[in-house]
Amino acid sequence: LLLRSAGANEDITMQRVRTISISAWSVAFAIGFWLFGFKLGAALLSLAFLRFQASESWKISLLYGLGAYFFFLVGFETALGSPLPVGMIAASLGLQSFERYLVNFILDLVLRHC
Amino acid sequence: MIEAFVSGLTDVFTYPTFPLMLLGIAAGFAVGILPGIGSPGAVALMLPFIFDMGPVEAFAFLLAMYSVTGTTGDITSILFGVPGEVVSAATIIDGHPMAKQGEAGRALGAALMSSLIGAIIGAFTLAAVIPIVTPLVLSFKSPEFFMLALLGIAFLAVLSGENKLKGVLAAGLGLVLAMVGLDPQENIERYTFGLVGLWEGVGLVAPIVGLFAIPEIVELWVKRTSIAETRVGRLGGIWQGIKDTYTYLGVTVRCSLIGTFFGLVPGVSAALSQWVSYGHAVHSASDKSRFGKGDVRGVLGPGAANNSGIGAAMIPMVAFGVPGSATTAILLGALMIQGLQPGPKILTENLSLIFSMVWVLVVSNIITVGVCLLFLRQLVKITYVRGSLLIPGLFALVFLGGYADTNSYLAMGITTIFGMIGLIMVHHDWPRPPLVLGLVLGPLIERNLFISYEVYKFAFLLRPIVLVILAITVTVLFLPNIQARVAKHQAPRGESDCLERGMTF
Repeated sequence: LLLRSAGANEDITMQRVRTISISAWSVAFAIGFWLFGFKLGAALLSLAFLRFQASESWKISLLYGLGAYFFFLVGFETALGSPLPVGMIAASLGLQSFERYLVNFILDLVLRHC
Repeated sequence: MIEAFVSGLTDVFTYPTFPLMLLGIAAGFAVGILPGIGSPGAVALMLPFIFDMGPVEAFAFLLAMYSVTGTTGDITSILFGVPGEVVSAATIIDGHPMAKQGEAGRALGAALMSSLIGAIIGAFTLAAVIPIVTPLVLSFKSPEFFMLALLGIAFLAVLSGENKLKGVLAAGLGLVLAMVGLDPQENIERYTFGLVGLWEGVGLVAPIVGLFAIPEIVELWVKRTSIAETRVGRLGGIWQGIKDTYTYLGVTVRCSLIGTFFGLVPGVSAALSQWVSYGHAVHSASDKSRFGKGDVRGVLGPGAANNSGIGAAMIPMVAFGVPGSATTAILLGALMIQGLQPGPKILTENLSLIFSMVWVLVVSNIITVGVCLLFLRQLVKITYVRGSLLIPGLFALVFLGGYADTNSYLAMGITTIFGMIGLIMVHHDWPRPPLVLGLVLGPLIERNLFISYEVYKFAFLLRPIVLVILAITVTVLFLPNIQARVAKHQAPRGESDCLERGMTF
């Protein structure tokens, strides 16, 4: 009985830890979408959640993140023609797209070194 | 009336209504089969997508999804003993033992066919009741609608949880939250804290999505729902199950009627009707020895009841604005989002919409059963998807839904706050549907109260129908107390002490 009750307590503690962690993730997702917009936010947070919280492989996490990005790009911006917000970081820097700026920056860097 | 009935059918097959209905069916399949997500959460998640749709399209999409969840929920109940939906729990008792005995296909065939018969009976009840209800609704004015809204809240508050005080307080909180924004009569700011973004109120989609979807995501993570723990064996015998539905047609039809009756009465959940139907199936059988061990009649009863209630539950929602469950409360919100209000206007000017609802229920269930019968084995594979893989996508949908409400980040904040409120409510066993109903009906209550007072002053409280509805509301609120007191007086001393402490044997 003692063993069983110890197991039950462990379960409850585990449930509490999980509830707190996933609640924190829900806030992180909200903040992520606010900062990075929906496309990039969904990609980055899905990747982070799956890799670091759900312990999925890098391959699955990266593929999921890319899928999330293209789901918003193709499903909403291209098919429905409704542009999604770019996020506070890009907006405050006066950028149309944060990820396009990032890709250009990396390409510039690579070309300069080559 | 007949013209509207026919145009309702043609509306369902037009573009883009039909593809949207198919999309709703596909979403309903996933929701019904995956135990982590319930139909209220799923319907709430889809609310942001109906902004650009017309009423017929929106309800084809949402109702198809809702009606399918009950049918597909039976699949996991039978195969794994895990109810896909709350309304599918009673199917486990006989369905799962049948699966263990190698009769999974037969149980599934019976559940699917009885669900179809139930859905058709429920849908046509909705069509049949409209001509009866319309003259009654047309005789109602603002005072009656004000009282009806209070009655609806009382029903849902008292009957949606074990502690009715919590239900009443949750409904009160919903009404207070509905007041946020500019007062419609005087344009005075109420609870806006100086935020211009709150002038229009907290909205409907952002709070509903937060309240229902975030707690479900949390539950999905906490329970680590690995949906199917065992692999499914042979799924033969489906046709035998279909034949059983006709062999025991009496049980199927009677249980459909039980489900319809429960659907008509607001506040009595479909979760209860399946158990009553199961009880009826057992009671009406001459040989009861196989029940609980795998009797097909134990599958037919609940299968028929949980689907027939859906059509019937539309009647109080559409005609009186009195929804009977969390999902119908959210559907009432969808009605409001579409700029429609329950009551006389919808029954006279949008009658073809009501009949299109009837046809959506019928057609979507026929398609569902057809797809299930053809692709059952493939559909079962959905259950092998890990819960953790669903979570990022669900979060994205939740916050996109919140954002789409008013196209502002503030709405995302509202979604998060309501998500936390929902979590706390679930943790402390507070019912969420009354809060949603308070939020949805708040503006209606306020407007009808204002008009009633302007036109009749306090004399509106003395109108005969108002008095009748008031009496019903008071009865609904206090009947459980009276019953408990009567039971306490009738029970022997020791037992009454236990009743007082809320103990049950």
